[in-house]
Amino acid sequence: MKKILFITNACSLDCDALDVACYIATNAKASLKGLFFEDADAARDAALSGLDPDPCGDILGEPDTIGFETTTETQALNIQRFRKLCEKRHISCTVRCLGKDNIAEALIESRFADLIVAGERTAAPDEQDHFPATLLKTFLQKAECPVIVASERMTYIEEVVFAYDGSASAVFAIRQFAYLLPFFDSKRIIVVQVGDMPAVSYKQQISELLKGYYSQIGYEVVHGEDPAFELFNFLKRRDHCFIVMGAYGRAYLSQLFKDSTAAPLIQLLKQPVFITHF
Amino acid sequence: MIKVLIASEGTGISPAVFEFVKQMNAQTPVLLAGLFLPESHFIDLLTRNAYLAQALPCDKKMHRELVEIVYEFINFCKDNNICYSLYSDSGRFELPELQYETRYADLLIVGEELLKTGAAGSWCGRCLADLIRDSECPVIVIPQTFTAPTKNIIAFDGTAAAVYALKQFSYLLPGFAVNETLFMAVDNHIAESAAVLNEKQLAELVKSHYPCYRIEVEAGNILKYFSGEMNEAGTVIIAGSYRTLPGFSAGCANLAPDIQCQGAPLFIASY
Repeated sequence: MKKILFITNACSLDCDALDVACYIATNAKASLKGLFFEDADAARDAALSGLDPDPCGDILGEPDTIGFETTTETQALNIQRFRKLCEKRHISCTVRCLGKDNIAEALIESRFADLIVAGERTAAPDEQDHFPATLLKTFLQKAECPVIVASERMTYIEEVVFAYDGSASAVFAIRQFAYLLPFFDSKRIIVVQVGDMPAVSYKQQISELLKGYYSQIGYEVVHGEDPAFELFNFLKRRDHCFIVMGAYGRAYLSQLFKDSTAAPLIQLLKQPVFITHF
Repeated sequence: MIKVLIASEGTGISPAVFEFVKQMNAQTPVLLAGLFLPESHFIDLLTRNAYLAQALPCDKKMHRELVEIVYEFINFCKDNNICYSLYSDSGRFELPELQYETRYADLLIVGEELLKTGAAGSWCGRCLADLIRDSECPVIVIPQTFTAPTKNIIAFDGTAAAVYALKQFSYLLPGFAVNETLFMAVDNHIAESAAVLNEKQLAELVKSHYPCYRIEVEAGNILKYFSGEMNEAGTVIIAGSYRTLPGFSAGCANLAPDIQCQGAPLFIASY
């Protein structure tokens, strides 16, 4: 059994990400620790503005927000919802609350966890409109375990796409994914590399490694000059897939996170992304 | 099925290494990838300039020895129902190739004879440090004589490296992780605090990976297990990097001291 860390803003429970965390915890027979980032000024808030009236309606039942008007009460309600969902899905859970600025302590928590699940909206209350928010970005850069960024609920996974460039980081991500989420072993695997090479780099070696874990493996080279853009185009055509990538801050991912005129490319992807760094 | 890379410098694979692989395979099936190099010290290869192709001498005698060892390897795998693959080289080998092989493997197994220097019988600390630095997957060093693993000792100093190693060991060798496990606070200059062993987070993590764990808060000297002063049969030592081992200088492989092995396999995962 493994230990998964679910990270969320205590005021705004990311139910889609929580659903993904529960899906993984159930399949991996893991325990879930909820790390709730609280607003230190919560107690002084007289009223809660912009509260989503139905944040987790379909997975947690109708939320009872009547009477929960302060931020503190909303935070308590969200923690209660988290516990309730875990209980409903028979997942062993614990909760820890941290101040919104206590990222150092959260990173220590990541050291003692096998995996982090965070929503794309994981952000401090004052950064809700930014992507990736400082909190999520810090986890992607400094977490001491792999991170899954989930933007939608996981209904069905048909295939796993390994974004591969032959780097140590990309292969490390593939290995960690295989150790931590072994229940995807029967899914179709696509190893995709962007570039002008005739075949994926070190195909014999990567194939030998993957054959130990998966039975259906395909390889695809996408030709193009802009790796991030080509990869994005490749991924946006696929539904029901899980994306696995190497280090944040390098190669594809740093470009995927770059602000573009519309929105960072990764924000447009609806599939869960597994990211780790070597 | 994990891919295990086994390296030989052409003089033979120690029976202890084969025995360890057999025990691993009994717990979790492995794909054993044999990497056979001509007579050139494996560690020498690792420590040389990464960008220069190495022209290694390979005469008929060496070639014959290599063929013999390859057959020994194949027979071992067939006799024990172990999946295998081979990588051999006839005289030219480049360091990047070797590093790539560790990139595409889950675990590298080396016999302690590859780390020994001279007649002293101790492990070359610098060689060990270089090996760990250059390998992109965890490394396990198998002594020439050892007993089947029944106990794990985790050299723990609270650092990211130490936690990373204990996680990787449990992912790769879950059959051994269920054995009795002792977390030993190590007394070295980079240890954050022996009190870290009491951390709730550690307990939360390890109970899921090491069901029979015990924490020894009193800082101990892990090297006693190597010197024979505390020699328990069937022990596997797990460390986060060579720096987790007391006496090894942080960040300077040249100062890594030689250590004497007394029968305990050493698993190291570099972070």
